[in-house]
Amino acid sequence: MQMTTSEKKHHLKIENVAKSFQRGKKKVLTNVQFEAFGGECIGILGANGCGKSTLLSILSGIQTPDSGSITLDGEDILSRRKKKDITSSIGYVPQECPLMEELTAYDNLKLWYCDSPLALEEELSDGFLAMLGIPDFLHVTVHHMSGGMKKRLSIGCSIAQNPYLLLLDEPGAALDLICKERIEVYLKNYKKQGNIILLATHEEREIAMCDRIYILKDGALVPFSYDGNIHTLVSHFI
Amino acid sequence: MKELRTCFLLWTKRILKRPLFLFTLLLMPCAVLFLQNCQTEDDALLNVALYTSGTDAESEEMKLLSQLISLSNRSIHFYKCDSKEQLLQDVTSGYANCGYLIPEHLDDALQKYAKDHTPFLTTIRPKKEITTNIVDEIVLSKSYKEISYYIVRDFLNTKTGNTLDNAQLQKLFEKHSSSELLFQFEYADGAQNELLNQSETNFMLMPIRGIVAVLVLLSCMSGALVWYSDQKNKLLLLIPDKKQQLFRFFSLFVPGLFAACAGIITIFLTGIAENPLKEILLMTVYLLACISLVNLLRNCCSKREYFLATIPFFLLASLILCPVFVDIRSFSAGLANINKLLPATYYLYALHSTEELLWLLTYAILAFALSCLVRKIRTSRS
Amino acid sequence: MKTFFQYIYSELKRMLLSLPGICIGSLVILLCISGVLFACYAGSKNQEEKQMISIGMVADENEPFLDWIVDTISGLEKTKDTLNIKRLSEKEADKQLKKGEISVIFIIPHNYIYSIIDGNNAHVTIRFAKGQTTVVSFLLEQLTHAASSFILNSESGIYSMQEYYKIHHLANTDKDELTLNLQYIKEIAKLNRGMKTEEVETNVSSHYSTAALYFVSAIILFLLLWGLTCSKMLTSQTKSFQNQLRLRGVSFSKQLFARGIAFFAVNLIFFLCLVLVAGIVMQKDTFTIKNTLLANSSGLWQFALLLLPVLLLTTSFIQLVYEITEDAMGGVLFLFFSVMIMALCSGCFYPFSYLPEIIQKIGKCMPVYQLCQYSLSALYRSFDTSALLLILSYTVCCYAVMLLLRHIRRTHTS
Repeated sequence: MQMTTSEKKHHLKIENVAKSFQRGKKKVLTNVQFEAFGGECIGILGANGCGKSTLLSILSGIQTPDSGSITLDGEDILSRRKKKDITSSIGYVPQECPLMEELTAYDNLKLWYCDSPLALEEELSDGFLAMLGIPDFLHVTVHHMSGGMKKRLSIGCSIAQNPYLLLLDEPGAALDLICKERIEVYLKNYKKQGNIILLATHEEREIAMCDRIYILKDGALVPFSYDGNIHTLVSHFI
Repeated sequence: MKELRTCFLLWTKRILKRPLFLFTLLLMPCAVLFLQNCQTEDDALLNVALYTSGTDAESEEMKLLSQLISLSNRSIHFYKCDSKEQLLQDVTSGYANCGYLIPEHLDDALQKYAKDHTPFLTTIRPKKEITTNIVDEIVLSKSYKEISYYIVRDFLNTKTGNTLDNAQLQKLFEKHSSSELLFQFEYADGAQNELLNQSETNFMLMPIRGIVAVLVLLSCMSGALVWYSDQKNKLLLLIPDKKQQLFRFFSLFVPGLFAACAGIITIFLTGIAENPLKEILLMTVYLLACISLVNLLRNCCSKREYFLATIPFFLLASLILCPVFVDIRSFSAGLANINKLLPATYYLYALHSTEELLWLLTYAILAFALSCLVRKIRTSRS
Repeated sequence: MKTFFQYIYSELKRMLLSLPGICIGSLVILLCISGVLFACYAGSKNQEEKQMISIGMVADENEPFLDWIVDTISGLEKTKDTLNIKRLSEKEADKQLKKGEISVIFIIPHNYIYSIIDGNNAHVTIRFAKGQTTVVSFLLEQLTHAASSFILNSESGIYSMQEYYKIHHLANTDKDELTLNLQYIKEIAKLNRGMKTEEVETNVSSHYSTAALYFVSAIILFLLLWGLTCSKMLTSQTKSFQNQLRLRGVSFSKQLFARGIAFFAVNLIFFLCLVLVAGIVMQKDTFTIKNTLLANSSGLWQFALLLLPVLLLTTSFIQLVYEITEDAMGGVLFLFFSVMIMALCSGCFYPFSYLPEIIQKIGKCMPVYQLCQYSLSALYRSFDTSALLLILSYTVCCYAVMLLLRHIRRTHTS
């Protein structure tokens, strides 16, 4: 599904990004390059341990690549000077749930929403947080929450800054069907606003939602045209 | 047997993958080695300065000086000052606990003392200093041989009307002289106290045994903390309850065992160890007692936070109430009854008492029985 | 910036939630320490100023001269206020030794005095309790050498006299021997007259009383060991949480600082409660330390205020330990052992002057030593600026090390 030029608001460009661990012995990313435009949802697929989370953490600014460049709307996000401005425009939902276990959902939300343009109360009453069903367990301690609740809460925390680049690492894992559908609706709306979504996933439903799909294989992103046949997709992993 | 071995190996691997835990255990013997080797001749409990203006090596004062200096050990260190001013300075600055001025012509001074009790030594000490009174006795004892001779000489002079054969008397006196020790030391169980015979025993390392005991208890407790985390992560959910008992035991046994081994090595390095078999037996029974106590605490405390709250209590209580540094019985008999709740008390007393060893074993059995009872009650309630 | 302040608030809330369980243990510790201090103080008030050492003497009832020897030793100037010698049966003596009512037993063998007279020199057995050998035992051993010397050299004199009389066929051997014996005994009893004592003023900071030293050591050890209950409060947040905070502009240094502020605030609440309880105890019982701020209960709050830098360093150190270890098990062990070593080398257990020179040099560099020095100076109304500056430097160093560790870990994983 291609986006028309008039809908392109933001532009993400990744060129020759490489990353290795253990002092170069383990090459995770070798030559990653692609572009993404506003209003697009890019799916990143790959076998377990191929480097999807690493790529997303590099894009979010948590890790730095060994080489390559990453620009967002023409500005180099690897440059430290710009980072503070840029990273507030990037939302990252990691696989693990970055929550304070001893506090309630409300306390955790207050931490991430204190400095954000989105009003917490509004979101809880009528916004995305309400869509995720967070008000149902607002005053439950994180320690007592189920895995699905924690995941919903961490997604809710990550969009506090109303970023225009959203990085999601397996957001649908552990979620029930209703929640998955709600997230899908939210992401579609989010796209329509001209924002970019990068989605690392294994879920068929989420794959179907993506405008473009790349497979991360041998450290490089390989574009893939998804025709709805999951078996064809699987064969490309090998 | 296979399950036992697997469980033991798994827990051992887990412990070995915690480098800081191992590092802390290794720190114990290393610290002891360092403390032992850092003590020089000058580092004794009491530093005593000596000065004499005499220079003749054959004179009484120089002989007394040499005798005292040769007595130096880890408890009391005698050393010579070059001048009276230096001696005064050393005492004033606190470097020396006290000092003695030995007069020139000491022989004459001793004779005069034997006749009319004119003081023959001057001691310089800080005001209100009482610990050095013991040194007075040691110094005086070294001059006493001459005084004793002069006493008998003067006595015989009086009786023989000054026709005493001095040379003969001197020979007789030397003939009957002896430097035997008229005391022997033993413990309450009849075992000889060998440590007091060793001049190199380091008094600073005496509390190490107590600290090792507390560390073993603490290691068992930290094993329990790991157990709480495993419970929270539902690690052993799929394992039947009976087999879980093994895990429960090893969660405390393995860290305790590591600490006990490090502790035994440390005790031997300090030089305060008794018979190796006795030490190993004592440590084994103590380890069992610690495991039982920690198991009881673990069963009583459903939450990790409550268990954590007991740790400083047991640590501090063990350090203060058990005879690690001081015997609390000399301060308060009431508190001494509380220390019976702590296994370290029995461990430290069992060193020279079979009765206490049996009490330690009883403690282990009682604590274990109590912990089983508590667990049964909790299980039946839930 | 808002996120930073909100993070401090969240950490504080999180730590306060953990407090109830910790408070129980802390209250128990507090009661323990108060109980020990009270019992020791009450115990010392009931006794005479100089603590008496009780010695049990086991001997035959009809052992000659023994009562006289005991009375003479007990009556000596140096021993009359420090030694209490009791004549007991062996069974009773063992019982009292076991209970700790006597420190040591002297077992006089049968016909001991006659063996001395005859020259057979039976050995006196000194029996210690079943515990360990202590420093006192070593000093007692030194005394026994002195005692042996007195006895044996006196014997030399008497035997020499006996033999001289025999060789020269002198009369009244028995009578003169008895006279000489008595002379020797009197001589040993009054031997200290051979010594003239000059007392001097010392430059050593001995104006700090022992009570003050141990009181201050107890406070500092308590504040440090309280960290053993804080593992849940201070175990590091997950890496993903730390990274999310970084993405929101709360860098590692700010995260550590925020945590430090929250932990300090929690410690401060706890510390103030401690002071409050101490104030009540002091009013109930007249526990005071002369010539210090604690001469009366009103000085307690002033002392507490001056101890705030101590609280700052102890909280930083505890935070550092948990930052290094990252898990409860290692943290608890490492904290305990490091505090014990530092306390030993800083003179908390033994007087500092008793330690070897090299340990003294190392000890002076340790935070616990500086904490003790500063606290003592505060207690005595003087102000050790150098110790305070060192305390603040150590605090900064703790944070620097924590920051370095986080960066190393981040670099290692990336």
